Amino acid sequence: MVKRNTSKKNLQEIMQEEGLCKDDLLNYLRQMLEIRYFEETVYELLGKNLIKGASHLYAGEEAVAVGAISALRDDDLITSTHRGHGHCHARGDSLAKTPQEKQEHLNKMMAELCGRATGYCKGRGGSMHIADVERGNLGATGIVGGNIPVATGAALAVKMQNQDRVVLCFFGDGASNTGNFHESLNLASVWNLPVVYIVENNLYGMSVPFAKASKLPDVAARACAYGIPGEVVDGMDVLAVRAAVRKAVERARRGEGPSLIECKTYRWFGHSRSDPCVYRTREEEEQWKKCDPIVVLEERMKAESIATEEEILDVERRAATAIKTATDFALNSPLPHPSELYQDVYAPSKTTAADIEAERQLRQRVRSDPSMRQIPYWQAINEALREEMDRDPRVFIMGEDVGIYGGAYGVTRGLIEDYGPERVRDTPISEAIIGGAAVGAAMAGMRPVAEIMYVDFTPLAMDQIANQGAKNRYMFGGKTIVPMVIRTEGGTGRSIAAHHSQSLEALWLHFPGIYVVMPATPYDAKGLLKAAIRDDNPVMFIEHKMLYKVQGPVPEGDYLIPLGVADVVREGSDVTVVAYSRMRYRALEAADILAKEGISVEVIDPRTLKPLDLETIVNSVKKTGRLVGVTEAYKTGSFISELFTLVNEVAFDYLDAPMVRVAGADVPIPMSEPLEAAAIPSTEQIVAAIRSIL
Amino acid sequence: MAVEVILPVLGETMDEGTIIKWFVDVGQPVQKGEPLYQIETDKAILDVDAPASGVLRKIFYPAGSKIPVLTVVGLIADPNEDVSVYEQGGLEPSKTISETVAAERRPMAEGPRKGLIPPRVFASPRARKLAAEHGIDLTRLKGTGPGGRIVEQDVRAAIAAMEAEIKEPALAPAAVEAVPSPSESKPLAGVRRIIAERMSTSAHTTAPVTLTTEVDATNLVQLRTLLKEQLEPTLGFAISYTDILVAIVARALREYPYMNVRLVQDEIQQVAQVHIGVAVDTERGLLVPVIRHADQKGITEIARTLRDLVARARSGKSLPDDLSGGTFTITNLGMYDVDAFTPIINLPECAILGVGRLREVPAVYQGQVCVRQMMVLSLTFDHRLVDGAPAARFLQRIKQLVEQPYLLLA
Repeated sequence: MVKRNTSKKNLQEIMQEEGLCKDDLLNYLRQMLEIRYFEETVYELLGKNLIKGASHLYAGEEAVAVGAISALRDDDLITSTHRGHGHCHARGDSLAKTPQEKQEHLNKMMAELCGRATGYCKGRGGSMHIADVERGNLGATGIVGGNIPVATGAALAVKMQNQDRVVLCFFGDGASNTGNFHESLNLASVWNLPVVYIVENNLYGMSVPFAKASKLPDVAARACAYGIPGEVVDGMDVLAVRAAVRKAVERARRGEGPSLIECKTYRWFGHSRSDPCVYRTREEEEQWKKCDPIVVLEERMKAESIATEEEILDVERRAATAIKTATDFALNSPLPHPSELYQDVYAPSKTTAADIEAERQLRQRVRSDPSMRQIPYWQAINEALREEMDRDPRVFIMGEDVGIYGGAYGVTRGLIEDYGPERVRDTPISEAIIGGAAVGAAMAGMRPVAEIMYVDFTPLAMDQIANQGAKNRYMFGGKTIVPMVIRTEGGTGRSIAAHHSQSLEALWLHFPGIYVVMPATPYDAKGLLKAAIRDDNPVMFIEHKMLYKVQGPVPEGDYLIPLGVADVVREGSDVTVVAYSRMRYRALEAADILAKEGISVEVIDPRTLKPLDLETIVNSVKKTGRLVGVTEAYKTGSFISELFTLVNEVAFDYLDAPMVRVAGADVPIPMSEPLEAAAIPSTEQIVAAIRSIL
Repeated sequence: MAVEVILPVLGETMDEGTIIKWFVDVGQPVQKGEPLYQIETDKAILDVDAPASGVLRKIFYPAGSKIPVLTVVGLIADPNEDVSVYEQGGLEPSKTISETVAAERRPMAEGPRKGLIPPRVFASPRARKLAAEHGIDLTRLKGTGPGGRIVEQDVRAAIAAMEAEIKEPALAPAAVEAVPSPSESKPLAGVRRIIAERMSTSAHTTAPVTLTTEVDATNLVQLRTLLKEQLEPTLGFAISYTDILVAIVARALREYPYMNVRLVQDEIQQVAQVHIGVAVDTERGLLVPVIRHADQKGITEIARTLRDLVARARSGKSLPDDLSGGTFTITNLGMYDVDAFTPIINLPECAILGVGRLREVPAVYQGQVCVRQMMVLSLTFDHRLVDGAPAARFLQRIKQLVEQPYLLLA
């Protein structure tokens, strides 16, 4: 299936075949020159310490970005890599229609490299994270292979929106050995997604030659594993790249699925500025520089009298001027102000004070109305999914066994029948691509609800959800949203041991940019899931496997529970107990037991751990002077530990006793029932903890 | 073997002390553990026991010397031992002594002084905050929380106890159970500390204003002379100016009840009873015995009561109620030739009257310059509770009663 494109056609023939004119070729030459000069300037600025940090230069590989992107339509999408200046320029330049717009684009690029407030991402991303999401550049990533799932998810969004747009996904030969590559190509092929994967094989993954990292000489050969076309092209020939990519793009646009194109190329500089290139010979470098894509194109144009020496010199001069202008602009631009540090971590909340009050009243009604219907937790979630899919065609579900099986715990049962396999998607067992496809689909306009069967499996998707999903908005200067929900479940209770029983919310709390929601009741589950789906931020929605059958009052129809509002489940005056998810029930049992002794316990369920309603908890602590925190999670580094630190910071003087944790044991959850039960807090332990500080 | 006598560290914050007196002269025998000399620190007067038995051979620092802790101040040795090498050796303690003292400073170290190193008080942050707000000394509370920790409830109880007696002990809270044994020097430190705490709380929390007025006390002197002559034989003592002033102030307080107030949390409480405290200088320090219902007592009764109170205070046998519950305080420094001063309000009272000396001065009286007995009265009041003009009217009434004491009969 691998084809090797070794076209020896002359330019006139190619121009005719590709429908190109002389200006197009001069345009490609200009873009390549601008990338080259840009990179040379960056190299110089790095040396002068005017650009800080890492910068992976694209010089030598210009023909790949320019040739590939020349095959795109303006509404197509791309994803880029840590060596991404070429992609960013080719895409930005092709979208800029006037000379002024083109210059502004270069200015923003150089300013971003220099960490300036005027940069594409306000200086947040720099060299490795340039993006222009609004115009279809879904950004670069610092994780090798990190954007392959994102591109795949964007292609899924395009397909689900019935559009004929195409996603171009750039990555290097190094990325082709990551799991993301394989999970992504597999999903894209099985779902026939409109994405073209472009491997820029510059022969070295940092210092390791591809030959040492892969038995197959060509990455493109791996396409056969996924039943898709794979092609090797001369990555130093802009027109060869263009021709190959154009065909793959057209194929994708026709709905025939993904392709893999490998462009053999070479980087002029080392991996980064600190790389002395000891792993390659000077002779090898000389050989490759003889096929400099810029020189090759210039020579061919002159040789075939398509452009004069003078015309080419003019292009070179204008390119140099443009880069000089951009550099001056960047270095004269203001640096971002530290006061903006926290801007854009999260998309702004749409919740109003009226929403919070309305929910409070609804909650009171739910608690006091004995005639309200009772439904189980799983059904409340199922209802939320149905209502949101009915309301918003962008909402869809994907995950392992969410279709005919109805989800491992039956939450999605009946949905595939009513909404069809397009909106209720069974995925391969590939957590990274489930997470990454959700990120890409969300950035490209959908509202995915992706299910990871057990929270124990979420670390398999951690890079995608945390490094891309949670951070993209901030890294990209607040110019994107990633409105996705990852539904998962955790907790002990079914004797399924250390890989299916954990409570890993603390892992997810740790990353800025993602919310963590943990409902305990059917009412909370429905209202919070609907709010999470409508929120513009990524949300980790962690259910509890032992609560799915718990019945509770749930209002009919639509209602939302604002994220970041705690529930004072039971009022009391002697001690505050914060407990969430299943532990809420045990805390209430403990409160009942102690009430008989005249001890008044206030139980607060934060419901959302992030955003956290610290105010409600602190106000309670100010009242009672005592705080007990209950969590099923490992004691070390748990949410409760963080909560105590927060309380200590703002309410130390109100504490009348040490804060006490009742937490899961620091052991891998054992299978055998008595051991499993001992690994998490019991009601008796909560009672004892409360007594210990009274 | 010769043993150096050092000035020990007797508290965490102590860095120097003054030798008040040596109980033993050079050449006299001493027994280990017996008091050897007395020092005064910033907090207390304390005896230092002899570190060894033998003869006090040298005193490097006589009484009156103020010196840093750990300084060698004397030397105990056998009578015939050659101690010439120790001559003028008192400036720096030898290494052995430093080590001994260092050991003594450790909380677990055995020794007669260990109780003087304040132990860490275990109290919750909430209790600490509340105690600070109400000027409660946590070291005097017993904790009822887990592990004996002082918790909010303990502080609340202390505050309630304090308020229940409306009367916080003038200058020594009656709630204090740990009354130190009079045979030791600790009581001095205790009273001193309470005085310090209460004075500084007053100085830092009140808005004090002092009004002074010069009073023609000629008639007062005359009245006192008459009372003395007439009553001394039967009473067995002379009526004092203070006795009469108590009666005058009690009368004025009855007439101007807005001065008979106290601040309890956010409430200005007007007190129905007039209980007048009189500042008394005692060996233990300043004490303020309280004459209850002073407005309902005649001058002789006031005089008798005050004498009993003072006697008990000076002998350290005050009853709990003796020193608590005042609503106003009189402090008289006239006998020390003080004319006017700015007394510190005795919380939770609202005001205090400072009485200056009586002296004969040429004054204009009924259009003629003649010799009159003049006196300055200083009224310090808490401007948070009462304004300047009403306070001045109150002082003016006292002036009027001093100048025309027969008005007391009206």
